[in-house]
This record gives sequence, C-alpha cells and structure tokens, in this order.
Amino acid sequence: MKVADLTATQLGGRLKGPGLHLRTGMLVAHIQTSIPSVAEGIGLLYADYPLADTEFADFHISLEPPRTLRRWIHPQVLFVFDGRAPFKPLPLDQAFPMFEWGLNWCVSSHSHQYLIIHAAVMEKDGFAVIMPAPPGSGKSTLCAALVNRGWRLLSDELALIRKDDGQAVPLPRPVSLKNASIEVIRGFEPTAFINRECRDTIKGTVAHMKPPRDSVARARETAKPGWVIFPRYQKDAATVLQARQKGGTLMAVADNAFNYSLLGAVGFHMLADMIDTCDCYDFAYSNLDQAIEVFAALQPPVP
Amino acid sequence: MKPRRDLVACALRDPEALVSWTLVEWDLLVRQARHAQLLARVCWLVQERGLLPQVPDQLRAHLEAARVVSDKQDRAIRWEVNRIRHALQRVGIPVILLKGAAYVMAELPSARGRLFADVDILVPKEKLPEVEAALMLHGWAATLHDAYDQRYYRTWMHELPPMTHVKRQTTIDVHHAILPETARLRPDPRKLRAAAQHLAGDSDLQVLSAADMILHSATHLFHDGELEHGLRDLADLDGLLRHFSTAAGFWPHLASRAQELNLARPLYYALRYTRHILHTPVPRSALEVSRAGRPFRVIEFFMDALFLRALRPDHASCADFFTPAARRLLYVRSHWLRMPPLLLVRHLLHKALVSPKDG
Amino acid sequence: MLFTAHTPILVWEIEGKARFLLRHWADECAVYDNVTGDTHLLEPVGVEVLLALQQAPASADLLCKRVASRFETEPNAEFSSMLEAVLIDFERLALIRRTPQ
Repeated sequence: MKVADLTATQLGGRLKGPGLHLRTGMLVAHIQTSIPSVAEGIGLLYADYPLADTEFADFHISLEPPRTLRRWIHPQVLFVFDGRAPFKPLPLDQAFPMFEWGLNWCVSSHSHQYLIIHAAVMEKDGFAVIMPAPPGSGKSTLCAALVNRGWRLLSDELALIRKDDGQAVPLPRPVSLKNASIEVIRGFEPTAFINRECRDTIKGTVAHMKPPRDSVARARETAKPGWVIFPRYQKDAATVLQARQKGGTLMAVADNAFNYSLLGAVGFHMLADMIDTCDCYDFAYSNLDQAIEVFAALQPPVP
Repeated sequence: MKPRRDLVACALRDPEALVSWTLVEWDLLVRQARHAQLLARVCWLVQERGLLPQVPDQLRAHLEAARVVSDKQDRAIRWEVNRIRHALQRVGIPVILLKGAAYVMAELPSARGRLFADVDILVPKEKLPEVEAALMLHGWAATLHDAYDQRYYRTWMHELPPMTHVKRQTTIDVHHAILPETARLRPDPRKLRAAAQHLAGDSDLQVLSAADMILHSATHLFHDGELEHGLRDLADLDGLLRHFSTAAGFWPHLASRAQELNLARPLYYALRYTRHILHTPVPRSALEVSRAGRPFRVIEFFMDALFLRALRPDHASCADFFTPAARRLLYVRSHWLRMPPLLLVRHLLHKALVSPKDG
Repeated sequence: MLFTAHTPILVWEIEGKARFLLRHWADECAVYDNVTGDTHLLEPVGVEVLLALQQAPASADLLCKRVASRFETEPNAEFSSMLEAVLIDFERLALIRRTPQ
C-alpha cells in the first residue's frame, strides 16, 4: 500500500492519531503530526512511497506546536524525536522543511551501521557517483537536474555506505532546493513537481522536489560507488572535470562525513576501500546542460 | 507482553530471552534503552552470548550503531586519561580515577557498552591549585564564567568547576571529596585515598578500592545525583557487585567499610534496589547486615515510591502519573542532602530567577 | 670533587604497539592513529619516519641518517632541519614523543 492510496482525510487522520509508518529505502519512520502543511507535504511529495506494514519503526518522530504561548502567538513548530526536541522551534510555516531536516538528523545521528557522508548519491548502469559538498556548492541543484536526466536518486543529502560490502544504500527522499535553484530546476524540468516555497528559513527560501517514481520504486537496490566528484558551481565558470589525488580526497571526504571519526579504524578502511575503487574529481561548472553531458560521459572506473 | 515500563530491566536481567521478544517489545526496548543510555549495554549482552545473528535485522542495526558510539567513547576515554596523566605528571601526586574512567582503565565489566560524558578524578584538596594550573597549562579551560557558579563550586561543592579542553572539547571534573563539604554525610577523602589501588603497571594512576568504588557509586546514585541516568548507574552498581563479590570476605568488608565511612544508608538502598530491579545476587546475610543503614519504615515506603519510578528510563512509556513528581522530589532531595536549608533556598532561588538554563 | 654536567640523551619513540593503519596512493599516505582517533595525510618523508620509529626508538641524528638513506640522499644540514620540523610536527600531533634514553 502506498501513501497515494490514502485519501487526504485518511492521511490526516492517521497522522493525527496512531501515526503513519512510512518506508524510505531501508528505514521506516513513524510520523505523527496535526499540522496541515506537513500532512499536505507528505501527501504530495511522498505519494509513491510504500507504507510499512510493521510494528517496528527506526525513528519515532512528531511535529507539534510547543506547549507554551508560542502555540498561539507567532505560532511555532517543534521537531520531536521520541519524546525529545533536539532543536529550537521554528516558525509554523517552516514545518515541512523542518520535517525533512529532522528526518535527516535522525539518520545522520543514529545510523552508524553505515558510514554517512554529507553528499548527494546517484546511480547509472550499476555505479554510484558520490558528490560531497559543503552548502552553497550547487550539489542539490546538480543532483535535481541529473535525476531528471536518467540518473537514479539514492539521496540528495546522505550517502550511506554499508560496512559489509561498501555498497551505497539508497535513501531516496524529496530533493531540497534553495533560493535561485528552485526556479532553475522549474525551468530545467517543468514536469518535475516542486512543492510551495518557504521563505525566510535559516537556509533562505526553500522548496522540495518530488523524487522520480523510478528512484522510489528501486529504493532497495544498492549500488557500487564508482566516482567521487566534488562539484562547485561558479557563475560563468567553464565546465571542467579535473582528476584529484586520492589521499587528499580521502581527507576531504572524511571532513564531509558525519560519523567518520565515530567509526574509528572501520571507518578508515571503509573510506580507503571506497577511494581505492573510485575515480576522483573536482568539477567546476556554470551551465547545467553541459554538466549533464559530462556526467553522461563518465566511464565506470577501471578495476 | 512484558511489563511495558520495565523492558530495559527485563532485558538486562535476562538477555538470553531477547531472541524471542516480539517486534513491538523490541521497538519499545530500543527507544527506552536509548533514553537510558543502555542500548550499547544491551548490544554487549547480546553479543557476549553469541545471539546477535538471531536479533531481527532492523533491530540489529540499532544495537550495532549504539555499540559503535560506545566503542568510540572507550577509545576516547583511554586517550583522555593518557593526556591527563601527561598533564599532571609534574604535580607528583597519585591521581585517582572515578566512575566511568575507572571502570574502563581497570577493565571492569561495568565499562562494557557504557557511555561517558566527562572524566572524574580525585585529588587531595591542598593540591587543587596546582592541579588546576597544570591542567590549564595543557589546554583545559574553565567553562563556567558566571561568578555565582564559580563561587558555588569552589566554596561549597566537592569539586572544581568543570574544565573543558579547548581542542578536544572533553571535560574533566576534579574532585577533592566524593560529597560536598556542606553535605550531611562526609566520608573522609583521606580514608578513600589511603585504600586506593594503582592500576596494573601504572605508578601515576589509581582507582578506589572495590568497596569504595561501590560505595561511591551508591552514594552518587542515592544521595547526590539527579537520577537522569538512574538505571544506568544502577546497572553499573550491579556490574560492580557481581564482579567483586567473587572475592572472599567481600560482603562483610563492604558492610564494615560502609559503617566506617558513614555510608550505610546509601549501601542499604544500593542493595535493596539492585536486588529488586536487576536481581543482583545479594546473600541474605549481607542484606541483614545492611539493615543497619535502613531508614524508618515510613521513609522507606516513601523512598520506594520515588526511586522505583525514577530508576526507570526517562521515556514517556516508562512513566506513570506520579513519575514527574517523583523525579522533582528526588531532585530537591539531592540538593537538600548537599547543603544546609538556607543555602538550599538561596541556591534554588538563584537558579530559578537569575540564571535560567536552556532545556 | 668533580661534578659533571649531564644532559640526558633524548630519543624519539612511538607510545603503544600496532596503533597505526596506513593506506598508500602514489606519493601520499593516509594514516589512522587508533590511540588518538585522528587521521593524517603524510608525505613520503613522514611515512619513513613513522616506519623507522615503529621498528625502534631512535635519536634525531640516527633517524636523519636512516631516512636519508631510504631516499638515497645526503643527511646534510638542510635535510636534518627538515626532518627536525617533521618530528616537531609529529610530536604536536601526538604521533610520537621524546623520552630520555
């Protein structure tokens, strides 16, 4: 059964009451909320996602108004993870982005069965490209464009690398877009669904793009990492794919990993193994179409 | 279904049975254990018995993830102790490690799956200025800058204000006694230091003797602490009692040491509640001797009502109607036991009005 | 009575056994230190210093000769001062320490 099989009333009712067990890749989130914008966002952006028929959830979360005057005056929303609120409240109209950020936090703070890299991950022909990037590098824009041009989305934020076999594990979720990139993607792919914008968030204006149906359908298919590419968007820059040294790449990826230092020796070997078998690049671009071409031309690494 | 509020205690008492738990029970166990900081401990217990492959897949991942964190903290604590030894070498006194750091360095079962916040050490009071200076020289800095807090610690508490290392962001608590000078119970730190034992092959670092370690843990839990991690601390106690009680003459020595240090009351509570909640095997004879520290029946009845609630994980599914009140009363009690009434009122007022803290 | 001024000879050593994991690419080497939990990127000279000290503690002089011979170069003043800088750096990173012989 999928989210789309529920009517808006049924969805709202479940969220307000017993909660919704939503499956995203390998993980199940149990979600409760009475906030309409969150229910609406889930209904639109998670329509293709399966409901989990299970009594176990990896994360129990809720979005609720605080129990103070801020329930009514300049209303706010709290993200609650199993009874505890890890963040300060945000204005109520940012409830859906908060849900997305909160769910990311749940994974990056707890899922240490994986090496978790702050990166976008996409797959083509069985190989995954991992794009670590600090905020402002254009990673999400590039990711949103690529998944609309034949690449499968594994994640726009969290690369999950499995210990046993080094495979990238999918966690496809709505792609977050900021500020100018919202219009860019609307123009680039008019058929992609992007929900309504939230202004004045800590990241600026934010919206989310519904992931391609195929990416959601194949959310249990892992992929072997083949390329590590550090993107950097710069206005009017030439499109350049430049090979980079592996040692430096390991250090740079470690810097972009949430739990590298937690994993200790195991993390070191996982990362070194991954770098060993990947081609590593820096990628400068300003033109999305040219960027797509470069990615389309990527060859699997020579073993 | 097992008693919903006591799933973690059930798991600790009988880890073998975990493989037959239902998904619903597991779901709740993971959440409660996470709140109680005992999830990694559960993982250890399951792994020790070779049962991890039999745990349902999704749950195994959560146990393993918790274990990753506790393994990291074990490594981090060992390094931290290394740096503390290095910093305090010139001061020339034996440094006594307390609590979690002691369990790790002495390779005790209570260290397994444990999570640590700070390192606690015990030094002679007269050496405090030198110790503080040596730590600052090696990168630790004071964290509390509020003048009231500084004075509170230095004048009335049994420790320096916590110091944090600027690079590693780790915290050290330097104690000169195990209870504040203003407290009603005042075990003599010189006696503790006299009985302390060196770590194997180490001339700089010591830990408390077995009995003193247990009494310190009991005192901290039932006298001094705020019970935020009550069940975890109780599990520590259970681990220490089981481990050390194999030695001949252990129980009589524990009882007489408690009398000597005036800690018979915390010992009484320790044996009572570890036995009741975690089924720690305390011999009848030891229980009878410990009754020397028993409070009046009415008080015991009341304390049961408070402790049996507060020693559950701080998770909504473990609470009943009276639990919030029980925790609040124990909070006030712990401050009451630490300082005379006037000081207590002044302290609570200051905290409430002048320096509100987040969360 | 004769008093002799005595300066203790200091050697460099690695505290602890089997604490480093190394992975090599071209002329870079990533090192994970299991004691501190840190990861470092080393250049060839640094790698040789670490490998030499893993064998046995050594004075700065001896290390200079050993490492220079690995690179088939002269242990001259320039090399020696470069090596000294590496040793100071490694000490700061808590990879190695100085101790009286």
